[in-house]
Parts: sequence; C-alpha cells; structure tokens
Amino acid sequence: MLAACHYGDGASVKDHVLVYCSEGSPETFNPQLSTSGTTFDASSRPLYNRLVAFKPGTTFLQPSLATHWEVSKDGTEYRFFLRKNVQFHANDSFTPTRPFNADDVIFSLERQWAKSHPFHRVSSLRFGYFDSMELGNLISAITKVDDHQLKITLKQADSPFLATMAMDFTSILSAEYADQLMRAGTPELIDTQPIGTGPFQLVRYQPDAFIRFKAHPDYWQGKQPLENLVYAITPDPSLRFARTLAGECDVMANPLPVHIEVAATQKNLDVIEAPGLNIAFLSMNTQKAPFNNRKVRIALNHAINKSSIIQAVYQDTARVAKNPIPPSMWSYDKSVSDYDYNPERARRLLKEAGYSDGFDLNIWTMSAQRAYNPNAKKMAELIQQDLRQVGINVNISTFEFGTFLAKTRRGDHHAALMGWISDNGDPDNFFTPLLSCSATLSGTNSAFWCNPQFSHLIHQARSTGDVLSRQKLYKKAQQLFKVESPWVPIAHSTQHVIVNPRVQNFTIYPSGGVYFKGVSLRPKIRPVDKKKPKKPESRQPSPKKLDTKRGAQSNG
Amino acid sequence: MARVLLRQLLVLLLSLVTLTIFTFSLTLFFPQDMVIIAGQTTNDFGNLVNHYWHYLNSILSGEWGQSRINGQNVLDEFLIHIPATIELSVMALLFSLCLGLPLGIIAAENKNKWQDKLVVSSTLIGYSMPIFWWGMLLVLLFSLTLGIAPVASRIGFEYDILPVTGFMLIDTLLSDQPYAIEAFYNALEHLILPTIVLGTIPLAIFTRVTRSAMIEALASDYIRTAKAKGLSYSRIIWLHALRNALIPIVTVISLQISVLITGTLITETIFAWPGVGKWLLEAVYRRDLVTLHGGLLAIAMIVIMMNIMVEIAIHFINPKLRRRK
Repeated sequence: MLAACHYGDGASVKDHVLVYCSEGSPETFNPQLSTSGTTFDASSRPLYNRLVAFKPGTTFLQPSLATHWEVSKDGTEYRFFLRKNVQFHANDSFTPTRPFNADDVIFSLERQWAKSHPFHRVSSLRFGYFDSMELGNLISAITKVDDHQLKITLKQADSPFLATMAMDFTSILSAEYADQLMRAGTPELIDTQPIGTGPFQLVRYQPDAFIRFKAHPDYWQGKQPLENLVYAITPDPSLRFARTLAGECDVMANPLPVHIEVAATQKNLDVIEAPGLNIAFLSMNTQKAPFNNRKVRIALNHAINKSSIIQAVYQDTARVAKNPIPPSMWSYDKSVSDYDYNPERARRLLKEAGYSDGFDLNIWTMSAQRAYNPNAKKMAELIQQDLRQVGINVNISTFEFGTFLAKTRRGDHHAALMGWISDNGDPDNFFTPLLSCSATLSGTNSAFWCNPQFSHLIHQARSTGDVLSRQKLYKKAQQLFKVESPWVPIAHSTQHVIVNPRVQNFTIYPSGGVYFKGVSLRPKIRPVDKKKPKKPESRQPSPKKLDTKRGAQSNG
Repeated sequence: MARVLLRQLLVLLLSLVTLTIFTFSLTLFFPQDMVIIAGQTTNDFGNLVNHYWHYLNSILSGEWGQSRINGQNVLDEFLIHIPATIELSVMALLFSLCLGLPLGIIAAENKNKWQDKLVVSSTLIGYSMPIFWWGMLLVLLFSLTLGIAPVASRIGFEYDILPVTGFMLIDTLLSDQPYAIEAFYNALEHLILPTIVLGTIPLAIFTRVTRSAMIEALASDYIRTAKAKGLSYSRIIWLHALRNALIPIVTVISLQISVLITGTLITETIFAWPGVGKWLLEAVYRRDLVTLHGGLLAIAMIVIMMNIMVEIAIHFINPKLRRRK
C-alpha cells in the first residue's frame, strides 16, 4: 500500500517500460559466440542487425543493412549493396565517428572465419554456428568493393546462403569500436558491452536478475515507440507466470501448457499462438543393433501412439509429425502417409526381424524444458508403456541438457528423444544438420543414419537456386526418409506467448525468437489504484493468430 | 578485555585455517574443475603442503578462480551479490527482533494467561513452518489474490536505479532520477514479503527465548527487590529484567545467522531475489564448482566472523564475564 499515493497523476513510469519475463541469462551479448535462443533474444534481436532480415512472423527474406543484392548466375558470388547513414549505438566509452560501412561487415564475418584475426581468440567461447554450418569451408573470399558495396565469393553454390546472412550469428558489429577496444587493451569488452545498429541499446545487465535496454535514438528505421525495455530473468516457469498474472511482466516466455489454459480464462492476459518451425522425435541409433534393421525401426513407428502423447505431454498444443520438417515449412510433403498406431503390426514386424521375444532398450531424455518438448521425461514414460505392449522393455535415463547433447553427439545412445528448431526457415536447416552423412561426423545426426542417396538429394537441393526443383528434391527426400525411418517423428509444437493486452503489435517469429522491434504500449488512463491489474478498462480484441502456412521463402 | 579479544582472534584464526584446509581438500577431489584456484598442476599431488600454501596465497590475494559461466572472478561476483542478501537478512533480523522481543515480554508478563498461550502456540506454528510453502502461500494471497504486494525481485522494473552501494534502499535515495522517492517506497514494498518469509523462523525462536529468559529473570530476587523499592513497572521490565535476559537472546541471535543464511537460499529462490543464495543455487544447476567453492568459503567466513563478534558482544553485556580478570 505504500506507493499507492504516488500514482495519482495519471501517467506513471510504468507506461514507458515493457517488461519481458525471460527464461534465463544470456551467456554473452555477442550472438556470434552462442547457439542459444536465450542469448539471441538478448543480443542479436534487440541490439544488432544483419545484412538481410526475416519479414516479421514469416521466413520471407527482406533487405536490412543491405538494401539489395545480386547473385551471380552460378550462385557462387553474392554482391551486397549496403545501406547508407546507419548509425551505431553510443555508450559511455564509445561514440561512433562514422556510420556503418563495408568494414563492419568484413570485421564481423572475418572474426569468425579467419583464425589469424586479432579478435578470433578474444573470448573463451567458440563460434558455434559459424563452425557447425561449415561456413569456413564455404566462403572463399570476402572483398570490399567500396564503402557500401561488398562481394562474398563461395566455393560452391549454396542456396540457403542468403537465409544464413539473416541468421543471428551473422549480426554486424562495429569495426571502429573493436579498434578502439584493441587500442585500449580491452578487446573482450566487445562481447560484454555491445555496440550494434539495432533498435535498442544496452543500458545495464545484472546476471540472473535483469537486462535493461533503451531505444536507439538514431535507429535507421526511426526511433522505436518503446522507450524502455527490460528483460526480467526468471528461470522458474511458475514464478514467470505468477509475475505475468500480477501484471509485473508484459510478455512471458515459454509458458507451460497449464499456463496457457489458465491464461485463456484470465481477462488481463492474451495468448498468442503460431505454428513453430520445430520437431520432436525419437532418434534411433542406426549404427547399433537392433536399429540397424529397418523393420525394427518401422515397428517402433507403428508401436508408439503419437496422438496420446500430443494430448498428455502437449495438452493438444502440438500436431502429430510424420515428416522431418514441419507442415508450415515450404516443400513439406503432404502426400506422405504416416505409419498408423498398430501394435499388432509392430509385433509382426519385430517377429519378422527376428525379435519375437522383444528386446531391452535404453531411451535417453533431457531434464530441460524445450520449445518443442515441454516434458521429455513424461513423453519417454508414455513411449515406455507403448513399447511394453509390443514386448520391448524400456529403461529411461534422464540427463542435464548440456550433458545430454554432448553424449548423444558421441553416439553413446541407443535411442534418444531429440528435437530441433529451425533458425533460418530453410528446409536445408533440418535436412543437412539432422540427416546428412556429413552430420554423422559432427554428431548432430543423432540417428547416425547415412544414406548416400538421401545425402545426394539434399546436397543437390542445396546447390541449386531454383525453388521449384528444390521442392521436388526435398519431397523425394521426405519419401525416402519415410521408407527408411531413422526416427519416429512425434510432434510439431505450437508456439505460445502470453502477453498483457496493453502490449501492441507483438509478433511471434517461426524460429521462436522474441523481437520487440515495432512493439508499443497502449497508454492507459490510470485509475487511482494501480494495483488491480485484473480489471483493465477495455478489452483487446481476441488473441491474434498468425498464419505462416504460406511460409515460402524468397531467394533474392 | 585485551585477553578476551586476543583469545577470540586466535579462535578466528584457527577456524579460518581449518576452513581453508577443508575447502582446499575439495579442490583435490575435483582437480580439473578447480585447477585455477589451487594453482596446481593436475597430476602433481606430491607436495600437499606446497599446494596448500599456493592455495592460501591465491585466496588471500583475491584470486578465487573464474566462474565457469561468465568468466568473472568469483570473489567479485560474490561481492556483487552479497549486498542484496545482507539487505534482506538485516531486514529479517530487525523484523524478528522488533516483533519477537515485545511478544516474548508480553508472554512472560502474562505467564499462563491467554496472551501467553496464544504467543506460545503461534510460535510453535511459525517454528515448524516449511518456509518454501509459507512463501508460496503469502505470494498467492497477497500478490496474486489481493494484488497488494509485488510477486518478486527487489524493485519494480520501471525504476532504473544505478547500483552504487548494492543496497537498494540506499541506492534509490542516492539516485538522481525524478522518481527516486517513489522508487524507495517501491523497494520497501518489495522487501515486505521476503522479510516476513525469511524472518518467520527467527521470530518464533526469539519470542520463545525472550519469553523463557524473561520468566526466569522476573522470578529472580533482584526483581523482587526492585519491586519492593517501588520502581516503576516499565523500569523494572526494560532496565532490570530485560538487561539480564539479553544474554541468552544475544547467544541465540548468533545461532540464527546460519539459519538466516540457509533461509536466504530458499527465500531468494521464491522471490527471484538476486542475492548470494540464488547465485549459489544457479551455480549448482550449472555444475559451476569454482563458484560453489568461492561461495562456500565466503559464507563460512562470514558465519565464523559473526559468531566471534557475538562472543565479544556477550562479554560486554554480561557483567560476570566482564569483571572476571
């Protein structure tokens, strides 16, 4: 009650601050150094721009720091024309003397690419994305034509390359700031005290507590309507929801299915949903018996009741998966028929494969809650029951997320509940890292399934620029995937965000990121008591629903 | 007096040496993770004494190793987080003392009457309350149902307060923002629920100890003498009885320090309070042994030092000890 009297004058401080309850602390403020969505939400999305951007809520590409681009006929040379008069942020120690130019792009890419670059080894973290996408082997040269023109030459044609230039790790940092830091002997500050061109700039960060941003006054698309933006770091989902319910948070990350249910009944909360570009699947290690036998893999596809998993684990906030890519992704093959839930058939197939007595199976899961899987352990238990019906005796091992990834990449597992979220909206972002032969080496192909024909198809699709022929090749690949079935595809989870109705223009991106560009707060004529958030004066129209079903990709 | 101080200093030194030997032995169990601290080469365990000496040197020079999460020096990290914990603990201590002493006195004055029975039974409930549950209950009632208290954190996010001292109540007043006073009240509001949650167990204990100490004091001869001399009632209670009852109370306060520290682990988690407790718990989740080691060392040092300070305080309060030469 103490502060009740301080809000008499109508508008309060709160009207100029949007609070986002995020799920964790970022590892760094440099998106080049991370592969985690939490870090991107706090760095690349508010603070930086890329050459190319995704159109809000879709996977279409649109110009950003590059106003336009030209691709050579053979698809190996990209010429980017850079935007003029783009201003970097200024902070206490740095004031930019020049606008953004080609040097900044070269600095940002070469830092990750060239091992001899003075900034390559500055941080203890690795360039996770740049390395795993093997851009080092793809790019042959980055040449500055003039201050606002840049040429990137590739060793071979790579059709997702433009989408790659829209991904978080290709964010553009300031070369001038880097030079200043190097001269001052503190190069590591580039990763902790970021300077970018993005819509917001960093004010203050307290690990495990909050990140405070303010609008970039000279943003090239104009100053944001949102003056202040705060990320309230709240790892506990129940607390996150309680804060949102009490009106302390305006936007809540990663709600649990139960929160969505409760929020739908609350007048002061809106639920926004959109199909996610993700998949949860049971990966079977095809290098190990019994999963080196195709019949056993198909038997498992028949034995697992996916719709009951959708109901129990996702509370119907997901849809059954049959292909390795989600239905909202272009080139998704609708015509593929799924293996139906049929324990009888599964038993028969197992018998044919020589496992009439069943076998013992160890399924690995992770303890963390992910966007594609709210409760991996529960999912594993349901699978355990289903498989018991066909005589397979399942033992579940749960690991902490980091350990889980490290161990599955080594191929120590028999079967594991895995998942994937697309970062750039290109189907290649599912096929190559998850199912190609080369990915068996890096371990992201968790089924360790190497089918030369399949790999050839996706390689072909990758190196052609024509969308229609890519589509055909990907459909063939999906059919082949279904025949060979290295996974049991389980679910494509729908993304949900809970927002306060005072938040305007909030859009979910298919890649799952949180963006506050263009978001504003509806000013509110405040009654005397600010503490009853449950009675807003007027209601927003019903939750916005996003349609990304058309989600096709433009290719420059 | 000098002898007492000297003896306590010796106890302090011995305890710290024992503590560092214990924490040093931890570094031997996890040589890979802790190599920075002990300054040891992983497979060379030959000369333990030598290792220990290196270890002590790095601890004394503030080299507590680097957090595996953000690469910061653990000691610096600890110093960033401790003010929030101190602020909360001091408030909880004040809350439990300011409420516990009067309640205990009231109960003692009315021994076996209904006031006494009420106090005794409610302290029993308070004492046996699982504070995690208690915290949730308060949040559910005051924040989510009645909407009169904030759910979590130290201050509303709309206030941008520069951390100067790390103590939110002081920093809000130092702030040059136009809303500094408003922010101060907001920070106070945020302190209420965590203070109650953290202070509940100490409150119950202080009340009970005060009650029994006062009952004993009130039954003693010198009180009867004072009464016979016709001294005023409040003079008897506050000056004569309480003064003597203070000794066991102060002793109990020293015991409550470790209870408070354990309590902050839970309270800070419930209220997303960015203090040492939450910091350490995060470190556990991330298997950050360097941070855990540093946190353990620092907290143990604080507890040891507080206990010794209380020992010295008791010498000042207790005339029997004070006059003994």
